Amino acid sequence: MELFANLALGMQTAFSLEALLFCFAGVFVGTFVGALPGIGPLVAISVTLPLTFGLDSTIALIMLAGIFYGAQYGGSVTSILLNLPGTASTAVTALDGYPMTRDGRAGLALFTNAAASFAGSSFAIILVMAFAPAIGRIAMDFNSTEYFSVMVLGLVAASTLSNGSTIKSFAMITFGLILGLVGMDLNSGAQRYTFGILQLTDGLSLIAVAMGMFGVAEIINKIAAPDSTATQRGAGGIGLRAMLPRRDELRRFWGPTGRGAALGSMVGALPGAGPSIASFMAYAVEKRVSRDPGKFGKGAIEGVAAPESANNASVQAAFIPTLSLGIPGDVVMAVLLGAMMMHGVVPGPAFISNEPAMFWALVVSFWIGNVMLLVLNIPLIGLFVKLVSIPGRFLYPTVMFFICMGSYSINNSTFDVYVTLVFGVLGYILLRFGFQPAPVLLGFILGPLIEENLRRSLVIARGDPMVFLDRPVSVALLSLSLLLILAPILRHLVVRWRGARHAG
Amino acid sequence: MHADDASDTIAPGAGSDLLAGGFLFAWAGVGWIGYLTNERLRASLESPSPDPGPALLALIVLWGLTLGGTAVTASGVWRRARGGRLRDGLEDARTHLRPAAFVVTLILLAVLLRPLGFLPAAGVFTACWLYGLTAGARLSLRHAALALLGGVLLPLGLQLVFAGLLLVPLPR
Repeated sequence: MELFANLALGMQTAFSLEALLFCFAGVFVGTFVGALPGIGPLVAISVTLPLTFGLDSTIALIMLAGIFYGAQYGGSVTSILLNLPGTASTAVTALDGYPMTRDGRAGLALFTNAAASFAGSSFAIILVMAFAPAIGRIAMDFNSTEYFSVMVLGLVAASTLSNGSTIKSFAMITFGLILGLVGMDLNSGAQRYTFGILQLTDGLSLIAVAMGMFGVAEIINKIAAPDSTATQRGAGGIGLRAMLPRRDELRRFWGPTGRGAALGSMVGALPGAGPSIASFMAYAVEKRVSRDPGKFGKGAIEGVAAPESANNASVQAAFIPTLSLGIPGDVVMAVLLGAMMMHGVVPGPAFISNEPAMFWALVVSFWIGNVMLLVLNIPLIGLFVKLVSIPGRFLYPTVMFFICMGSYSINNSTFDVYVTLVFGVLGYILLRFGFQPAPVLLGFILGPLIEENLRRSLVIARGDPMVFLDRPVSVALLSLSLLLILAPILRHLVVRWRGARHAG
Repeated sequence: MHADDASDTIAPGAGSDLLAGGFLFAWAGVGWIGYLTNERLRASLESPSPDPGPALLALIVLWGLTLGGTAVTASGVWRRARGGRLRDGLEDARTHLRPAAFVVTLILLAVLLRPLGFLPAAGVFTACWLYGLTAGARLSLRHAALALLGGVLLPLGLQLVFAGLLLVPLPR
């Protein structure tokens, strides 16, 4: 009964004309930026953030969240039609989605994408409704040691589960933690890594760092091959009839969608892991459980349904740790967390009990937004494909201005524009060296929180580090972190042992 | 980004690992200088207070970054010892020419915003890049005219929408 009362509370706000309008604006912008390679939801959220300062905080969050999950839909459309993933999490969809387009089954691939995305999102929204308030209630009893351990787990998960080298991810997390420490320590007044620069006393701006590392860096990267994304046409004009699946195709849809939703929700709820990992894992699982793995990569419906369901479920489930613990589920969530703070909302265990109307309005808006996306994706596919054809020479300077305006307008500070550019160059260098920039941002966000809880725990325990092993939750979380660190080494040893046994 | 592409980044190799390790060392070096030249920060470690102070985490993460740099460099040394060439994993320097030029103009744009104002600085930046990305090395009047037009219309449009309608302040 309490659930229905809460949903009714959320509906009051979410179904207001203003909320519907901004939800639509969010998912539309999200779909657009998701379709454009190089401009992800993170840049879009950062750029639109200043525009939301005049709005009610709930409406602003509804719009910003809409950009995030809308981007997953948009990215998939271009993956399927043009073999151009707009976001990293939709790259795996192209493996089977694009062959379907080449086989003349683009309509079916788009239907599978839209339906699986909606199913995955809906499943994860139910989990958000069920678990976020419960986790929030449990977390109210957390002390600083448990908070510290949750954040350590998030950082370890981000370095061990991310794509690419674990060592490089670990290095990026430490780099992010250092960036998070820049500025004046509020307890002692000591300056850290400010090098006498007055503007650094308050620390680096999250938005400036995020837009630099993800927006400017990506544009610099694309400038090397400016029109690689441009002028690909010819995939528009798909009718509704071409989208409808046959009965046997529908039968092959449900299993992968269900498994993708479950896996994606699990990965998304883990602090530090994001939709890219979810979609790649879902694809790998589907290939493994399939009776005919050879069909993957040649236009298998399962190869579209599973990753799409997983990445959308992951995006929605990422709201669980963000809203209930104040720990971002992934890098875009980190920026969304920053946006919430700028709107005077403090995410964390007390958020849901202090702001029930905002939480439930947000949850209801997720569903409204996903229905809008389902409806939007069918008639507007041709338009999104045309938008992707905007030549880079127009797109990149325009986006550069959006980024500069976004970073400037947060504090009306030219220094933030310089910071954005510096981190843009840094992000480009990191990309060229094979480093993932996402762990940097997670380390940057979690750094001050980790330090606060580390110091508080040690103060309470009079400097005894064993305090982190006093409470079972903390022990469990730290053990899980250790397991994640040791897992690759153990896997390696097992493989070698098996190899030796076979050779023997 | 094409889905077929393995990655936008360079493949790991002896050369790229050594350079990446050096890059991490450089940042760790900046961090160590920041730490070692900050007497107040270092002194906080010796404080008798139960609060471990602002230096504790700073020190831990600096060691973490140094260890990360060591591990990546060691990987490069290992690849080299196994016959890898220093060139392995490194791109042709010419690949970075256009990105480097873009960065230089971005810095110029940021510097010129204050003395010139948003419209002229943004106009020059837009016109230059519209021309550079369209015509490449070839001189073309048509492309130059298009770039000039873009250089006028794009910043004007942005000024109108953002500063005029949405009341978002523009960098200056």
